[in-house]
Amino acid sequence: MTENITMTERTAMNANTEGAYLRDVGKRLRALTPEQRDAVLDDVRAHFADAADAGRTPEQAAESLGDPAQFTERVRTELGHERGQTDRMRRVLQWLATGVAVFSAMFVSFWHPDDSLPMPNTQFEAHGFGIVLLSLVPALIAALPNFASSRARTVFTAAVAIMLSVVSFTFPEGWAFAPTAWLAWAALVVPVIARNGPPAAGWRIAGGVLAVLPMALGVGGALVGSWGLTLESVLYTAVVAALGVLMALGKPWAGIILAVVGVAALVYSALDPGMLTSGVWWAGGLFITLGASQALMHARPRTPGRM
Amino acid sequence: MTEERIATNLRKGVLEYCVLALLSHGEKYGLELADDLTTRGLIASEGSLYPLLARMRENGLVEPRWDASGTGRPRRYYAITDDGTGQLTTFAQVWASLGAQVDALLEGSR
Repeated sequence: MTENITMTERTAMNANTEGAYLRDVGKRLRALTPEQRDAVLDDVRAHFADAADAGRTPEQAAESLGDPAQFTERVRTELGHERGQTDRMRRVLQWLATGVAVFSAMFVSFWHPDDSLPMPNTQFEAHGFGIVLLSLVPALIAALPNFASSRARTVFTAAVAIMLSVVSFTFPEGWAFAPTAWLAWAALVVPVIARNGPPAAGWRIAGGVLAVLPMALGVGGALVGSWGLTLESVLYTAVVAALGVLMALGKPWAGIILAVVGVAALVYSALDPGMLTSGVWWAGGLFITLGASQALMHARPRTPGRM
Repeated sequence: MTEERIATNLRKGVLEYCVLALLSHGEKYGLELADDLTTRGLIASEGSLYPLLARMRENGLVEPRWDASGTGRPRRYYAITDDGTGQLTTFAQVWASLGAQVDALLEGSR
Protein backbone atom coordinates (compact mmCIF):
# COMPACT_ATOMS: atom_id res chain seq x y z
CA MET A 1 0.00 0.00 0.00
CA THR A 2 1.31 3.46 -0.79
CA GLU A 3 1.29 6.33 1.67
CA ASN A 4 -0.66 8.79 -0.46
CA ILE A 5 -4.02 7.09 -0.45
CA THR A 6 -6.75 9.68 -0.19
CA MET A 7 -9.27 9.63 2.62
CA THR A 8 -12.14 8.73 0.26
CA GLU A 9 -10.19 5.81 -1.12
CA ARG A 10 -9.51 4.59 2.36
CA THR A 11 -13.19 4.86 3.32
CA ALA A 12 -14.19 2.96 0.19
CA MET A 13 -11.67 0.22 0.98
CA ASN A 14 -12.93 -0.06 4.53
CA ALA A 15 -16.50 -0.35 3.34
CA ASN A 16 -15.37 -3.10 0.93
CA THR A 17 -13.78 -5.34 3.54
CA GLU A 18 -16.70 -4.89 5.90
CA GLY A 19 -19.32 -5.30 3.19
CA ALA A 20 -17.71 -8.45 1.84
CA TYR A 21 -17.47 -9.93 5.33
CA LEU A 22 -21.09 -9.07 6.11
CA ARG A 23 -22.35 -10.51 2.83
CA ASP A 24 -20.44 -13.74 3.37
CA VAL A 25 -21.69 -14.10 6.95
CA GLY A 26 -25.28 -13.36 5.91
CA LYS A 27 -25.12 -15.98 3.17
CA ARG A 28 -23.79 -18.63 5.53
CA LEU A 29 -26.40 -17.98 8.21
CA ARG A 30 -29.50 -18.56 6.09
CA ALA A 31 -30.44 -21.49 8.34
CA LEU A 32 -31.12 -19.05 11.19
CA THR A 33 -34.33 -17.10 11.63
CA PRO A 34 -34.17 -13.59 10.11
CA GLU A 35 -34.15 -12.07 13.62
CA GLN A 36 -31.20 -14.21 14.72
CA ARG A 37 -29.29 -13.47 11.54
CA ASP A 38 -29.89 -9.72 11.70
CA ALA A 39 -28.70 -9.63 15.32
CA VAL A 40 -25.44 -11.41 14.41
CA LEU A 41 -24.92 -9.07 11.44
CA ASP A 42 -25.48 -6.10 13.78
CA ASP A 43 -22.79 -7.52 16.08
CA VAL A 44 -20.37 -7.76 13.17
CA ARG A 45 -21.19 -4.21 12.00
CA ALA A 46 -20.68 -2.91 15.54
CA HIS A 47 -17.41 -4.83 15.78
CA PHE A 48 -16.03 -3.13 12.65
CA ALA A 49 -17.10 0.26 14.02
CA ASP A 50 -15.53 -0.44 17.45
CA ALA A 51 -12.32 -1.63 15.80
CA ALA A 52 -12.14 1.48 13.61
CA ASP A 53 -12.55 3.67 16.71
CA ALA A 54 -9.73 1.73 18.36
CA GLY A 55 -7.53 2.54 15.36
CA ARG A 56 -7.56 -0.93 13.81
CA THR A 57 -7.88 -1.48 10.08
CA PRO A 58 -10.91 -3.35 8.74
CA GLU A 59 -8.56 -6.18 7.75
CA GLN A 60 -7.45 -6.51 11.37
CA ALA A 61 -11.07 -6.35 12.51
CA ALA A 62 -12.02 -9.13 10.08
CA GLU A 63 -9.00 -11.18 11.09
CA SER A 64 -9.86 -11.06 14.78
CA LEU A 65 -13.30 -12.49 14.02
CA GLY A 66 -11.81 -15.38 12.07
CA ASP A 67 -12.77 -16.19 8.48
CA PRO A 68 -16.53 -16.09 7.79
CA ALA A 69 -16.80 -19.89 7.46
CA GLN A 70 -15.24 -20.44 10.86
CA PHE A 71 -17.12 -17.57 12.50
CA THR A 72 -20.54 -18.67 11.22
CA GLU A 73 -19.81 -22.27 12.16
CA ARG A 74 -19.30 -21.10 15.74
CA VAL A 75 -22.53 -19.08 15.67
CA ARG A 76 -24.48 -22.08 14.34
CA THR A 77 -22.98 -24.37 16.96
CA GLU A 78 -23.88 -21.95 19.76
CA LEU A 79 -27.43 -21.63 18.46
CA GLY A 80 -27.86 -25.39 18.13
CA HIS A 81 -27.93 -25.47 14.33
CA GLU A 82 -25.22 -28.01 13.81
CA ARG A 83 -25.74 -31.17 11.82
CA GLY A 84 -29.21 -31.88 13.22
CA GLN A 85 -31.20 -30.01 10.59
CA THR A 86 -29.56 -31.46 7.49
CA ASP A 87 -29.36 -34.90 9.06
CA ARG A 88 -33.11 -34.87 9.46
CA MET A 89 -33.55 -34.04 5.75
CA ARG A 90 -31.38 -36.99 4.80
CA ARG A 91 -33.24 -39.33 7.14
CA VAL A 92 -36.71 -38.33 5.94
CA LEU A 93 -35.70 -38.71 2.28
CA GLN A 94 -34.18 -42.12 2.93
CA TRP A 95 -37.30 -43.40 4.67
CA LEU A 96 -39.39 -41.99 1.81
CA ALA A 97 -37.13 -43.89 -0.62
CA THR A 98 -37.73 -47.04 1.43
CA GLY A 99 -41.50 -46.50 1.51
CA VAL A 100 -41.68 -45.89 -2.23
CA ALA A 101 -39.51 -48.99 -2.81
CA VAL A 102 -41.95 -51.14 -0.79
CA PHE A 103 -44.86 -49.78 -2.83
CA SER A 104 -42.89 -50.42 -6.05
CA ALA A 105 -42.25 -54.00 -4.93
CA MET A 106 -45.98 -54.54 -4.37
CA PHE A 107 -46.67 -52.98 -7.75
CA VAL A 108 -44.26 -55.13 -9.78
CA SER A 109 -45.22 -58.30 -7.85
CA PHE A 110 -48.98 -58.08 -7.74
CA TRP A 111 -50.42 -55.42 -10.01
CA HIS A 112 -48.20 -54.86 -12.99
CA PRO A 113 -49.15 -57.16 -15.90
CA ASP A 114 -46.15 -58.67 -17.71
CA ASP A 115 -47.16 -59.46 -21.27
CA SER A 116 -44.31 -61.93 -21.69
CA LEU A 117 -45.98 -64.19 -19.13
CA PRO A 118 -48.98 -66.46 -19.75
CA MET A 119 -52.26 -65.44 -18.09
CA PRO A 120 -52.68 -64.61 -15.22
CA ASN A 121 -49.76 -62.42 -16.01
CA THR A 122 -48.38 -60.87 -12.82
CA GLN A 123 -44.98 -61.81 -11.40
CA PHE A 124 -46.57 -63.23 -8.25
CA GLU A 125 -48.94 -65.55 -10.14
CA ALA A 126 -46.07 -66.73 -12.31
CA HIS A 127 -43.20 -67.08 -9.85
CA GLY A 128 -44.78 -67.29 -6.40
CA PHE A 129 -43.84 -65.63 -3.18
CA GLY A 130 -40.07 -65.63 -3.81
CA ILE A 131 -40.44 -62.84 -6.35
CA VAL A 132 -42.10 -60.66 -3.71
CA LEU A 133 -39.10 -61.04 -1.41
CA LEU A 134 -36.71 -60.40 -4.29
CA SER A 135 -38.49 -57.21 -5.28
CA LEU A 136 -38.27 -55.99 -1.68
CA VAL A 137 -34.45 -55.97 -1.87
CA PRO A 138 -34.29 -52.34 -3.14
CA ALA A 139 -36.36 -51.26 -0.12
CA LEU A 140 -33.85 -52.96 2.14
CA ILE A 141 -30.95 -51.25 0.35
CA ALA A 142 -32.69 -47.86 0.59
CA ALA A 143 -33.11 -48.23 4.36
CA LEU A 144 -29.45 -49.22 4.98
CA PRO A 145 -27.88 -45.75 5.51
CA ASN A 146 -30.25 -45.12 8.41
CA PHE A 147 -28.46 -47.86 10.32
CA ALA A 148 -24.93 -46.78 9.41
CA SER A 149 -22.73 -44.99 11.93
CA SER A 150 -22.70 -41.21 11.53
CA ARG A 151 -19.12 -41.37 10.23
CA ALA A 152 -19.90 -43.84 7.44
CA ARG A 153 -23.29 -42.35 6.60
CA THR A 154 -22.32 -40.15 3.64
CA VAL A 155 -20.35 -42.95 1.99
CA PHE A 156 -23.27 -45.33 2.61
CA THR A 157 -25.77 -42.85 1.22
CA ALA A 158 -23.71 -42.40 -1.96
CA ALA A 159 -23.19 -46.15 -2.38
CA VAL A 160 -26.91 -46.81 -1.95
CA ALA A 161 -27.87 -44.12 -4.49
CA ILE A 162 -25.47 -45.67 -7.03
CA MET A 163 -26.71 -49.22 -6.30
CA LEU A 164 -30.36 -48.26 -6.67
CA SER A 165 -29.60 -46.47 -9.95
CA VAL A 166 -27.91 -49.61 -11.26
CA VAL A 167 -30.95 -51.66 -10.19
CA SER A 168 -33.33 -49.29 -11.97
CA PHE A 169 -31.31 -49.43 -15.20
CA THR A 170 -30.40 -53.10 -15.42
CA PHE A 171 -33.32 -55.17 -14.17
CA PRO A 172 -36.38 -55.78 -16.39
CA GLU A 173 -38.72 -54.34 -13.75
CA GLY A 174 -36.07 -51.85 -12.65
CA TRP A 175 -37.84 -48.84 -14.16
CA ALA A 176 -40.40 -49.09 -11.35
CA PHE A 177 -37.60 -48.50 -8.82
CA ALA A 178 -36.32 -45.32 -10.50
CA PRO A 179 -38.27 -43.07 -8.05
CA THR A 180 -36.54 -44.84 -5.15
CA ALA A 181 -33.16 -44.18 -6.77
CA TRP A 182 -34.04 -40.48 -7.23
CA LEU A 183 -35.03 -40.16 -3.58
CA ALA A 184 -31.75 -41.82 -2.59
CA TRP A 185 -29.84 -39.25 -4.67
CA ALA A 186 -31.89 -36.48 -3.07
CA ALA A 187 -30.89 -37.82 0.37
CA LEU A 188 -27.27 -37.36 -0.69
CA VAL A 189 -27.57 -33.98 -2.40
CA VAL A 190 -30.25 -32.09 -0.42
CA PRO A 191 -28.26 -31.88 2.85
CA VAL A 192 -25.35 -30.39 0.88
CA ILE A 193 -27.51 -27.82 -0.94
CA ALA A 194 -29.22 -26.80 2.31
CA ARG A 195 -26.15 -26.86 4.57
CA ASN A 196 -26.27 -23.08 5.02
CA GLY A 197 -30.05 -22.80 5.07
CA PRO A 198 -32.77 -22.59 2.40
CA PRO A 199 -31.39 -23.16 -1.10
CA ALA A 200 -30.25 -20.34 -3.38
CA ALA A 201 -32.63 -19.06 -6.08
CA GLY A 202 -30.92 -21.15 -8.78
CA TRP A 203 -31.74 -24.42 -7.02
CA ARG A 204 -35.31 -23.33 -6.31
CA ILE A 205 -35.96 -22.40 -9.94
CA ALA A 206 -34.34 -25.62 -11.18
CA GLY A 207 -36.65 -27.60 -8.87
CA GLY A 208 -39.73 -25.73 -10.08
CA VAL A 209 -38.81 -26.22 -13.75
CA LEU A 210 -38.11 -29.95 -13.25
CA ALA A 211 -41.50 -30.35 -11.58
CA VAL A 212 -43.27 -28.93 -14.62
CA LEU A 213 -41.21 -31.04 -17.05
CA PRO A 214 -43.43 -34.18 -17.18
CA MET A 215 -46.54 -32.11 -17.78
CA ALA A 216 -44.74 -30.09 -20.44
CA LEU A 217 -43.84 -33.36 -22.18
CA GLY A 218 -47.48 -34.45 -21.89
CA VAL A 219 -48.78 -31.26 -23.44
CA GLY A 220 -46.04 -31.34 -26.07
CA GLY A 221 -47.03 -34.90 -27.01
CA ALA A 222 -50.65 -33.82 -27.34
CA LEU A 223 -49.76 -30.82 -29.49
CA VAL A 224 -47.79 -32.91 -31.99
CA GLY A 225 -50.70 -35.34 -32.06
CA SER A 226 -49.29 -38.35 -30.20
CA TRP A 227 -52.38 -38.38 -28.01
CA GLY A 228 -55.44 -36.29 -27.39
CA LEU A 229 -55.40 -33.15 -25.32
CA THR A 230 -58.13 -33.43 -22.70
CA LEU A 231 -59.48 -30.75 -20.41
CA GLU A 232 -58.33 -32.81 -17.43
CA SER A 233 -54.71 -32.96 -18.56
CA VAL A 234 -54.71 -29.20 -19.16
CA LEU A 235 -56.02 -28.70 -15.61
CA TYR A 236 -53.39 -31.03 -14.11
CA THR A 237 -50.69 -29.19 -16.03
CA ALA A 238 -51.92 -25.83 -14.79
CA VAL A 239 -51.97 -27.06 -11.17
CA VAL A 240 -48.45 -28.52 -11.38
CA ALA A 241 -47.16 -25.41 -13.16
CA ALA A 242 -48.60 -23.25 -10.36
CA LEU A 243 -46.97 -25.50 -7.76
CA GLY A 244 -43.67 -25.29 -9.65
CA VAL A 245 -43.81 -21.47 -9.53
CA LEU A 246 -44.69 -21.49 -5.81
CA MET A 247 -41.84 -23.91 -5.13
CA ALA A 248 -39.43 -21.66 -6.97
CA LEU A 249 -40.67 -18.85 -4.72
CA GLY A 250 -39.72 -20.96 -1.70
CA LYS A 251 -43.14 -21.98 -0.31
CA PRO A 252 -42.66 -25.26 1.57
CA TRP A 253 -46.36 -26.20 1.45
CA ALA A 254 -46.23 -26.17 -2.37
CA GLY A 255 -43.59 -28.89 -2.11
CA ILE A 256 -45.76 -30.90 0.26
CA ILE A 257 -48.76 -30.66 -2.09
CA LEU A 258 -46.59 -31.72 -5.05
CA ALA A 259 -45.31 -34.73 -3.09
CA VAL A 260 -48.91 -35.71 -2.26
CA VAL A 261 -49.83 -35.33 -5.96
CA GLY A 262 -46.84 -37.61 -6.65
CA VAL A 263 -48.12 -40.28 -4.26
CA ALA A 264 -51.55 -40.05 -5.91
CA ALA A 265 -49.91 -40.51 -9.33
CA LEU A 266 -48.06 -43.64 -8.12
CA VAL A 267 -51.25 -45.14 -6.68
CA TYR A 268 -53.23 -44.22 -9.80
CA SER A 269 -50.76 -45.78 -12.21
CA ALA A 270 -50.42 -48.89 -10.00
CA LEU A 271 -54.16 -49.50 -9.86
CA ASP A 272 -54.89 -48.62 -13.45
CA PRO A 273 -51.93 -49.88 -15.47
CA GLY A 274 -52.42 -48.53 -18.95
CA MET A 275 -50.23 -47.49 -21.82
CA LEU A 276 -48.73 -44.54 -19.98
CA THR A 277 -48.00 -46.41 -16.76
CA SER A 278 -44.26 -45.86 -16.69
CA GLY A 279 -44.70 -42.20 -17.66
CA VAL A 280 -47.23 -41.50 -14.90
CA TRP A 281 -45.17 -43.60 -12.46
CA TRP A 282 -42.01 -41.65 -13.16
CA ALA A 283 -43.84 -38.34 -12.98
CA GLY A 284 -45.21 -39.40 -9.59
CA GLY A 285 -41.73 -40.34 -8.40
CA LEU A 286 -40.31 -37.06 -9.64
CA PHE A 287 -43.06 -35.08 -7.85
CA ILE A 288 -42.40 -36.92 -4.58
CA THR A 289 -38.63 -36.39 -4.85
CA LEU A 290 -38.80 -32.69 -5.77
CA GLY A 291 -41.71 -31.87 -3.48
CA ALA A 292 -40.26 -33.57 -0.42
CA SER A 293 -36.78 -32.14 -1.04
CA GLN A 294 -38.13 -28.63 -1.42
CA ALA A 295 -40.39 -28.83 1.63
CA LEU A 296 -37.55 -30.19 3.79
CA MET A 297 -35.10 -27.54 2.65
CA HIS A 298 -37.54 -24.73 3.43
CA ALA A 299 -38.85 -26.06 6.71
CA ARG A 300 -38.58 -23.33 9.34
CA PRO A 301 -35.51 -23.88 11.51
CA ARG A 302 -36.29 -24.91 15.04
CA THR A 303 -35.33 -22.28 17.59
CA PRO A 304 -32.85 -23.37 20.21
CA GLY A 305 -34.35 -24.40 23.54
CA ARG A 306 -34.37 -21.78 26.26
CA MET A 307 -32.42 -22.51 29.36
CA MET B 1 -0.45 -29.24 26.23
CA THR B 2 -2.48 -31.05 28.89
CA GLU B 3 -2.51 -27.89 30.97
CA GLU B 4 -3.93 -25.98 28.03
CA ARG B 5 -6.59 -28.64 27.45
CA ILE B 6 -7.74 -28.59 31.09
CA ALA B 7 -7.89 -24.81 31.02
CA THR B 8 -9.87 -24.78 27.76
CA ASN B 9 -12.44 -27.24 29.09
CA LEU B 10 -12.93 -25.33 32.31
CA ARG B 11 -13.15 -21.97 30.54
CA LYS B 12 -15.80 -23.32 28.20
CA GLY B 13 -18.07 -24.03 31.15
CA VAL B 14 -17.70 -20.71 32.93
CA LEU B 15 -17.26 -18.25 30.05
CA GLU B 16 -20.86 -17.13 29.77
CA TYR B 17 -21.03 -16.48 33.53
CA CYS B 18 -17.84 -14.43 33.29
CA VAL B 19 -19.58 -12.36 30.60
CA LEU B 20 -22.61 -11.97 32.89
CA ALA B 21 -20.31 -10.99 35.77
CA LEU B 22 -18.58 -8.35 33.64
CA LEU B 23 -21.91 -6.95 32.48
CA SER B 24 -23.28 -6.91 36.01
CA HIS B 25 -20.96 -3.94 36.66
CA GLY B 26 -22.55 -1.99 33.83
CA GLU B 27 -23.22 -2.29 30.10
CA LYS B 28 -20.30 -2.73 27.73
CA TYR B 29 -19.81 -2.65 23.96
CA GLY B 30 -18.47 -5.66 22.08
CA LEU B 31 -14.81 -4.75 21.76
CA GLU B 32 -14.66 -3.53 25.36
CA LEU B 33 -16.05 -6.86 26.54
CA ALA B 34 -13.75 -8.79 24.23
CA ASP B 35 -10.63 -6.89 25.36
CA ASP B 36 -11.54 -7.48 28.98
CA LEU B 37 -12.01 -11.22 28.42
CA THR B 38 -8.85 -11.50 26.32
CA THR B 39 -6.75 -9.71 28.94
CA ARG B 40 -8.00 -12.15 31.55
CA GLY B 41 -7.10 -15.03 29.23
CA LEU B 42 -10.70 -16.22 29.03
CA ILE B 43 -11.07 -16.03 25.25
CA ALA B 44 -8.53 -16.12 22.45
CA SER B 45 -10.21 -13.57 20.16
CA GLU B 46 -13.41 -11.65 19.40
CA GLY B 47 -14.33 -14.48 17.06
CA SER B 48 -15.58 -16.59 19.94
CA LEU B 49 -17.32 -13.77 21.84
CA TYR B 50 -20.03 -12.86 19.32
CA PRO B 51 -21.26 -16.45 18.79
CA LEU B 52 -21.52 -16.76 22.59
CA LEU B 53 -23.39 -13.44 22.81
CA ALA B 54 -25.75 -14.71 20.10
CA ARG B 55 -26.75 -17.66 22.27
CA MET B 56 -26.99 -15.57 25.46
CA ARG B 57 -29.18 -13.08 23.60
CA GLU B 58 -31.35 -15.92 22.33
CA ASN B 59 -31.73 -17.21 25.88
CA GLY B 60 -32.66 -13.75 27.13
CA LEU B 61 -29.61 -13.33 29.40
CA VAL B 62 -28.25 -10.22 27.71
CA GLU B 63 -29.78 -7.46 25.62
CA PRO B 64 -28.11 -5.29 23.00
CA ARG B 65 -28.98 -1.67 22.21
CA TRP B 66 -27.60 0.82 19.71
CA ASP B 67 -26.21 4.04 21.11
CA ALA B 68 -25.71 6.86 18.65
CA SER B 69 -24.97 9.60 21.17
CA GLY B 70 -21.17 9.56 20.83
CA THR B 71 -19.12 10.83 17.92
CA GLY B 72 -18.49 8.53 14.99
CA ARG B 73 -20.42 5.36 14.24
CA PRO B 74 -23.08 4.20 16.72
CA ARG B 75 -22.03 1.71 19.37
CA ARG B 76 -23.83 -1.50 20.24
CA TYR B 77 -23.97 -1.90 24.01
CA TYR B 78 -24.78 -5.11 25.80
CA ALA B 79 -26.58 -5.11 29.15
CA ILE B 80 -27.44 -7.95 31.51
CA THR B 81 -31.19 -8.76 31.82
CA ASP B 82 -33.11 -9.78 34.95
CA ASP B 83 -32.90 -13.39 33.80
CA GLY B 84 -29.17 -12.92 33.34
CA THR B 85 -28.78 -11.55 36.87
CA GLY B 86 -30.74 -14.54 38.18
CA GLN B 87 -28.46 -16.94 36.30
CA LEU B 88 -25.40 -15.17 37.66
CA THR B 89 -26.64 -15.46 41.26
CA THR B 90 -27.32 -19.18 40.81
CA PHE B 91 -23.92 -19.66 39.23
CA ALA B 92 -22.21 -17.84 42.11
CA GLN B 93 -23.83 -20.25 44.59
CA VAL B 94 -22.90 -23.33 42.56
CA TRP B 95 -19.36 -22.05 42.02
CA ALA B 96 -18.89 -21.35 45.74
CA SER B 97 -19.96 -24.83 46.86
CA LEU B 98 -18.30 -26.66 43.97
CA GLY B 99 -15.10 -24.65 44.36
CA ALA B 100 -15.04 -25.39 48.10
CA GLN B 101 -15.47 -29.13 47.46
CA VAL B 102 -12.74 -29.20 44.84
CA ASP B 103 -10.40 -27.17 47.08
CA ALA B 104 -11.02 -29.53 49.98
CA LEU B 105 -10.27 -32.54 47.77
CA LEU B 106 -7.08 -31.01 46.44
CA GLU B 107 -6.04 -30.03 49.93
CA GLY B 108 -6.54 -33.61 51.12
CA SER B 109 -4.64 -35.19 48.25
CA ARG B 110 -1.54 -33.10 48.75
